[in-house]
Amino acid sequence: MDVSDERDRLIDVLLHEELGGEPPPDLAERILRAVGRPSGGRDTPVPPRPDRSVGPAAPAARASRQRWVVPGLSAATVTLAVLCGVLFASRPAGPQAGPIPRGTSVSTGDETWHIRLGHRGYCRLEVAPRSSLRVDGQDRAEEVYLEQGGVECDVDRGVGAFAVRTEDGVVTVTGTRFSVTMLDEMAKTGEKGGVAMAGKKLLVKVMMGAVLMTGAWGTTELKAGEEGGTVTGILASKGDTWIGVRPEGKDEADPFLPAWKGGLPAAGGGFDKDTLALIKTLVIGSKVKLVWKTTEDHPRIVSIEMLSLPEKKPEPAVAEKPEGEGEKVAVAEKRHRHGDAEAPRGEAEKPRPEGERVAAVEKKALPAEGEKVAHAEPEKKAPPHREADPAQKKGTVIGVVADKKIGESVCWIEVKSTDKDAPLERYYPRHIAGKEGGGPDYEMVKLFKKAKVNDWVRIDWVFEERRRAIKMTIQSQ
Amino acid sequence: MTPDDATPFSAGFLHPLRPEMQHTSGTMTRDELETMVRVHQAEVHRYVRYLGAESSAVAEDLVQETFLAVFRSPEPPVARDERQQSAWLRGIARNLFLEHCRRARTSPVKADSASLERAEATWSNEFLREGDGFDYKEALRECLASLDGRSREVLDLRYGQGKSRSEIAGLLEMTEDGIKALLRRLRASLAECVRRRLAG
Repeated sequence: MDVSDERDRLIDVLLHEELGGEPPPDLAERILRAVGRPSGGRDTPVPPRPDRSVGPAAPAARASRQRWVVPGLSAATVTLAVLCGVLFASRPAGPQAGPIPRGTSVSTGDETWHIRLGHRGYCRLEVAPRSSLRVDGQDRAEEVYLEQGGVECDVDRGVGAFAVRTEDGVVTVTGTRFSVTMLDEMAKTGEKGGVAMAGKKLLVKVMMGAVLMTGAWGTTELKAGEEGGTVTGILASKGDTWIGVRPEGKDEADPFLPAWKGGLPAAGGGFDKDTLALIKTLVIGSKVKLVWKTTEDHPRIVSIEMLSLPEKKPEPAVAEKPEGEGEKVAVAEKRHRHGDAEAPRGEAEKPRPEGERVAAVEKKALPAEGEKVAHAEPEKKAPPHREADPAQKKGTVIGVVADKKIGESVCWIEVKSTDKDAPLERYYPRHIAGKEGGGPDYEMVKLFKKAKVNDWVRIDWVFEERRRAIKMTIQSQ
Repeated sequence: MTPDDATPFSAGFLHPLRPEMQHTSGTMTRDELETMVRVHQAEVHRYVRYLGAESSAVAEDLVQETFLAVFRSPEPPVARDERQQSAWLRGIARNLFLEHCRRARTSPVKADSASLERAEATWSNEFLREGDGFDYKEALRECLASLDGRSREVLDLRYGQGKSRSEIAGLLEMTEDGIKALLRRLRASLAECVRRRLAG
């Protein structure tokens, strides 16, 4: 092809990404599986197992699963969240069991078990140690009920359906790869893959394909790169556009945002109005059950169920508010308890009756948010820095540039402030609304690029999911 | 910046290209492969699509094969620089793509070594421009924002909504060939706009 053809193809590829929302897929797990697991999986052939055979995995069995990860258009593609961190640490052992009838319960003990279900074993399950599940369903509509622990699922397309039922909801799929974990409130978080929060009841992560997560709240679709689940805890803090829920057994609250509805802000898009209105009515200190899903790297509210009102003395928001902020804690608490003067139409804040289930704010898959994010490089090797405190909404930092990253999908600058005790903080450009989702504040990105490590900088910032630089000055060294 | 340049502010800093990645012989570790994949997979995927991989599935296969080839290579890259690693990966991807075209007799893409070398020159000199293509994409966004309504509508239909040329032709009451020519003209004008912005 001549030069004009090459430019034409380049623009064509970039337009597909920019306008079509087609970021490059994350193939890391698929590639790493292909080279073998750390425990020494070898790419050796394995005799096929009969349907429903159950038993602890042998090393060759894990290698055969690699063959099931058929690239391209056939079945599974990659990557599962291993939130409990134990699914890949299994050791082979034990006898092979025969076929298991429906209704049979399986408890794995200290070993990982492999189960194949359905016609020609189109559902392949890896059941984590200390898990228990029951085999249900029917032909071509296989199903398991996961009572506790975790299961990794690999389902061939075009054969039949498969579902994982849990106490909190059902995950159904017709061909993809995903994981479902039922965590105890005091369970530890895993390190591998996406967002993991202790205290979650149900956690689903999808790396390729899509699944439907169904519960009393309705149905939510999770696509590749998304996670979802449920969490029960105390509403520890809230703002106009966010809430902080402290899961049972945890000391810190996790932030959740409303889903983004519509398209661009200029076209009327914005946070889901029903959720914003709902947030206004919530009472800090209430026990809530939250259904969430991660979209573009942040957990978003699908539905909230108020389980109980706060006890006599609701938990103050003091822990969530930084000292020295202009907004006094007592005033904030009073506002939250007795209604927001800025509430629409002057309505006082009305706590919902106990047990009232809030209508699902989402009954279908959330549209992609206006802020498009190309394939994001996981910041696995990033230096330690403190996660932004959502309660601290704005500020100014003066310090030295410690690090920065400028790329097409990742852009931040890290500053060590003059306060010796302050940790490294990371600052991002703001999102500027525009056509097709807008983009980062390019003027700020240019400043980030201009700043060098060890330059002194002054940054005025606001908290919008992260610390966002709104003004930056680079001073000479 | 490397650990050798550590300052109090960079305590705990881990650069993706650690000095221990400098192999002169032997295989990569799995961790090193994972780091390389996470740093470069997006670009490699975009690159193979640019070369002409006819579908997402083919592109993904080529990306996987590229990194597997790296992992199995008896002489993994010795480059510290991400750009050098990236160039090395693109070289492997080009060879694999060429092999794919030769194997897949039904592939609609025709490629030879010379055309792929020219493609690499365009990619490296015009898109990357000694960076990672960020400036090019930024310029493209600005050029898109400056398009008139009709031009943008056509691009949205094609790339945003994934409509075929025949569907677009029906919507806009044009012929399919007319749509094809229009899209090509629009891409050419965008390419020229980007070139001017980057030169200016």
